[in-house]
Amino acid sequence: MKSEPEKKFANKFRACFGILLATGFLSAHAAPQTFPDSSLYQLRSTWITDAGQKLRLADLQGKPRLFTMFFGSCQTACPMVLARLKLLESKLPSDWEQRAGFVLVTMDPGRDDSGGLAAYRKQTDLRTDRYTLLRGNPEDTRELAMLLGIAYGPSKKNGGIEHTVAMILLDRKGRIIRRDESLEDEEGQLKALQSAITDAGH
Amino acid sequence: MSSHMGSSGKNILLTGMLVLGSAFASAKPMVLIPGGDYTPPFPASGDSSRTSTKIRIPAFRLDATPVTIVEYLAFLQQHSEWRKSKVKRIFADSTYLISWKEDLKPSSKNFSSPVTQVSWYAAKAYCEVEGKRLPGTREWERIAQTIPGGQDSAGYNAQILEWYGRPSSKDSSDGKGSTNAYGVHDLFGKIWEWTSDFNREGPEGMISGDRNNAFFCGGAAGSAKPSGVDYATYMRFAFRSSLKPEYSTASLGFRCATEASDEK
Repeated sequence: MKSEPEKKFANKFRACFGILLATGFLSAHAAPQTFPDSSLYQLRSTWITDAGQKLRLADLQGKPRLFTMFFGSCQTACPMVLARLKLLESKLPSDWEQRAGFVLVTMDPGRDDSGGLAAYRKQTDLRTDRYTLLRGNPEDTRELAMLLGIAYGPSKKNGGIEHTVAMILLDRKGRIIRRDESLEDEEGQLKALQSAITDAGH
Repeated sequence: MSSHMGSSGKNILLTGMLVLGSAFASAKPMVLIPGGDYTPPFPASGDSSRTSTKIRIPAFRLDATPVTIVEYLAFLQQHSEWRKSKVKRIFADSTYLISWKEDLKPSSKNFSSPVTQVSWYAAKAYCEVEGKRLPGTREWERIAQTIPGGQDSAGYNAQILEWYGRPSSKDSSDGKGSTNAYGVHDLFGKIWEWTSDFNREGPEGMISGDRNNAFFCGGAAGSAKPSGVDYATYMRFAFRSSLKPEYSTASLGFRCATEASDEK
């Protein structure tokens, strides 16, 4: 939400160091791309991957993405959701990662740092070209959860996290096209994903 | 070269305004809320003992007053993407600042009134620009549990309920707001306030997705009320659970918080 000062800064910068601009150094901070009004990719927040790379959600455009939120120490719901993702994965064409991706965002950014996310990837065997693991600051994480319709917070009992479960399919421009709040409709979810992948091929 | 000078002159001016702006913003008084215990009004879901355990809330700082119209106007001047003509529908519904005549023209002449008709996303963005954040529900409720003057909780709750029962007034600038023991003004009596996690805590079962619980289905709301929870608190949780983050209603505003250790 710093577009004006950033633009001013960019203008000033451009005047002095035009050549640097060509390197793309400022590209993420230049004038925002336009997305549909209902696109989650309008969010300007910055995220960190398990490889320690910075990312804006807009960087995920171009492919349909299945989002879910999780945390490393989650014992019950998250492993079930992950099992569902792997099941979906097994039913997609073998080169599906070229046309879609799964995005897992931690709802426990305090404990799941990049190293923790990397450990989670290894432990659960998630391919880097298929699964994007993200961590944001607590406020941006909450904001994304609001947009995804996921509620969470510290548990009253055991220091864990209470949360709702949802898997949200976004089209290549970041608009929600399907939400699954339970594991009930596996077939419907798979069909939606397949058709999103087919659409994205055009 | 002269145009170059001109633009850097403008930059200096802009920088000056930004500094002035942030100096103005940081001038908003905040109060230190010491760490302390908070007793959630609702037992943990699945907790058959139906007793609430105390939770430690670390110290934090809170704006002494809700964010006002003039403060929000200053934010809109700097961040045009939050003006009513430009805001994206995903971040604020069609009632966002609906009473404002134009992007930068509030309807109320009393600029020191709390700003309302703002969505959760807008409130979050405002606090972020200030280097702050929205208070958590538990932080907010911990303060609300503090009774001014100490003892008369029944009278205090009656007073809050009397306000909750009144039709919302669009321009609550009568200055009759309350001050709580920590020096927090207008926690009650003027507006409802966004919290960062308004959607996660409420009558038991909410977080597990069981929204159709006894609170809403049980006929008289009182029949589902856990013992020991005052009705005013209950109403706040019920109100919060009815909200969506893009809602921008006439009685709903916000204030910001920071960690106690931040030098803000």
